[in-house]
Amino acid sequence: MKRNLFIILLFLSPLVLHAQWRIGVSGGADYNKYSINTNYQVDFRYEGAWGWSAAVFGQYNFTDWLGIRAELEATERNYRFYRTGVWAGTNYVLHNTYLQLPVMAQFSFGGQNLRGFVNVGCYAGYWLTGKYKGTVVDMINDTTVAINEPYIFQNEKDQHWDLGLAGGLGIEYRFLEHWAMHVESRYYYSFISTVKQYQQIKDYRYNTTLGIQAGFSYIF
Amino acid sequence: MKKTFTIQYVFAILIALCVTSCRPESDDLLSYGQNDYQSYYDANHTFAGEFEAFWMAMNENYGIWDYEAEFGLDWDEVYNTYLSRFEELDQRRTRVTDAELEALYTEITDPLHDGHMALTVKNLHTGKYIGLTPHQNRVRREREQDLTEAMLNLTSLDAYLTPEMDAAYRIKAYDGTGSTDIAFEFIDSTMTRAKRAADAYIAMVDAAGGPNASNDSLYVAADSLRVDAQKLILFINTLPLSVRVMMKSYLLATYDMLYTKYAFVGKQIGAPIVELEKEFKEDLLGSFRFALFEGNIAYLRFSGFGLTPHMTSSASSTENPTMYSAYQEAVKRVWHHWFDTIQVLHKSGQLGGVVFDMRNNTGGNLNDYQYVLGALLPSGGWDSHMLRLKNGSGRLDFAPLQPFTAPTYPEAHEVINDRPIVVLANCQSISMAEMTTWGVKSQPNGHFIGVRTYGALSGLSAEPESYSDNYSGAFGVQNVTPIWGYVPKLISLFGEQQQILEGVGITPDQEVHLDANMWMMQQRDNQLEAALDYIRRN
Repeated sequence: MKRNLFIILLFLSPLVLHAQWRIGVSGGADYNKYSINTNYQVDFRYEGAWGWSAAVFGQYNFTDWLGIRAELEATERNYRFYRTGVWAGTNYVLHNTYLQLPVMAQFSFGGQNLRGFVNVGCYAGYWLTGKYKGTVVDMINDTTVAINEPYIFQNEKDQHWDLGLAGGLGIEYRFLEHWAMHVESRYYYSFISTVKQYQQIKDYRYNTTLGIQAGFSYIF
Repeated sequence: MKKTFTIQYVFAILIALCVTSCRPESDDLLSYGQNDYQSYYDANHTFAGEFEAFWMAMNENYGIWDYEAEFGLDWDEVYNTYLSRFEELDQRRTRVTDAELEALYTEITDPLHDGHMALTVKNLHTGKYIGLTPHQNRVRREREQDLTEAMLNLTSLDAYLTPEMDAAYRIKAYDGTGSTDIAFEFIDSTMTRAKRAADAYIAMVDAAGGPNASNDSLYVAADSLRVDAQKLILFINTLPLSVRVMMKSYLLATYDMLYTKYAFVGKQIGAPIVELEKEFKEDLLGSFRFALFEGNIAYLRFSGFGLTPHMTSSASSTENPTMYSAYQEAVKRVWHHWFDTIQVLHKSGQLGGVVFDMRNNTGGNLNDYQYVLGALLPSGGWDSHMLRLKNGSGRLDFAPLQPFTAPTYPEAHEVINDRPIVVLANCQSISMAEMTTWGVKSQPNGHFIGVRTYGALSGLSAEPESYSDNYSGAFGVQNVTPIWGYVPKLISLFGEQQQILEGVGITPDQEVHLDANMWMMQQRDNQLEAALDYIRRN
């Protein structure tokens, strides 16, 4: 047993030697696309919409090219819904706020101060809130009215939990011995439908999010 | 280095696998909104196909599945349970009777709570369309006593007009559509015209040789009658009930005789008498009454919300007035009598209170709100409750909530917020009558006396054929597609808890059942008297 443990530590020793911790913050904008089958509802239009994201993260580098990064991120996954035809005037963005935890392996490459990196991993998230902002057609008075109201969750239908792939491509500049800044394009691909399969009819709706974010990190 | 590539390959394979397999696809759905060949193909050929179309159309269009689940209904379970029973019908060699099919669909739809819904299914063996109204079955099943009370004809205020009536309940002033001079004047003149027209036609046809007359002569005579038949239809449609009972016999008998005797002419001379009767029964404004009770309590009663066309009609021509325009003038006159009395009494501080009698009122146009409760509330509309629009093919797909702003009287008027407003309602107070009941109950000075209302509070599409406007409100084409449904698309949510009240109705602040014996023996109305008592106490 002791022999086995010794062998494992021996193999890990190069990694431990390069071990390095860092923590940081990042934030930016994201563009979310909502995938839904609208079937025969030909004037139901779903379009992507912009939102924001903010995160704190910690990263542990095993070597100079491989690390593992975990983030705690608040992010919006918004989409626009609008109608054409006689219901033109209904046009709102559903602002959805998620709290999520991406865990990614980071592969980096390049020089001492300026390095590129690729993040690959997965994330788990939780849909915290939703809010409608925009206009709807008032069916009673035949006018268009502004709305700014919370989305009311339906427990039977709405899936709060989210899970999917996370990936990123970025560049980092180490401007001081312990400080670095980065810019990253981030991609989230959800595997979990935002609606539960609460009915016999199969109906899957997904978020796919592309973001651009920048941040700083402190390297211990 | 080799190890690095290995890890990258593993990730790449994982990503590729996930992207291609981790997002199952949604089912593709067909629209049941119109008479679509593909959607209704199976429904036109098998009972199982018809049931599946019905189940799907309801699944996509019905607006209160979440509410039904609270009552324990599982629509998926309905599919699983009943599909095999329809398949059995298809496999059977004997004819499926209408009663059998109706019983099966009644079993499926009776648990549903929507108070407006109308459905038809076609018996593929007999070709007959079977109508289903689960809400009526519910009331019959669950509220037998309330229904018995409501069946009593509560329209007469005659007892309260007599000098012998208890002074506390006596009527000081009264007006009604059937009792105005203008209405009687036109009833008389139309009666005369109709009699003259009928006699003239008979004489004309007889002079031409009776049934053996030449076709040309008969056509001329029929044309002549057709004009007068239309007058007759208008006249009968607008006759107040009490007057109709007294005077209709001759007209109907004459018309019936003419229709039957000269039908061989082959030219349409008007609608059959059955249709005339039906139209008459469905007339929303059979009665419209105002009374001012002792204590200056203003009372208003009508049988259905169809006031707006009358209130907004232009003055009738004095040269060539019609019975219909006379009737509209009468409605306006009664309403103004009620409204103006309230204005005068409230300005002088003498108004005792207001009673709206919504009993047996079957509902109607939303816009009428401004002439009823809305005439007592401030201009600019009143936020009554929230509306939820069925929006999307998913069972629980809804649009953002919107407030239901009921229209209020737009002109300058007295706001009655310092005197009691009482609404009387019963289990046959339906739809707009219930909206009005809710409106009164929600006012700080409002009070609801009677029994729980019908439970039909959601909004229907005024044009069910415009399905594609919102992919809800109706499905199929009545008497064309094997299934048809007219279901609300605007769901009403009441109060802070945003409760749906379909199939339940509005609960009274003060439950008072009708004393049937008192009504039948003395023509006295204990619910009305409870309202008058409440106002006097407050």
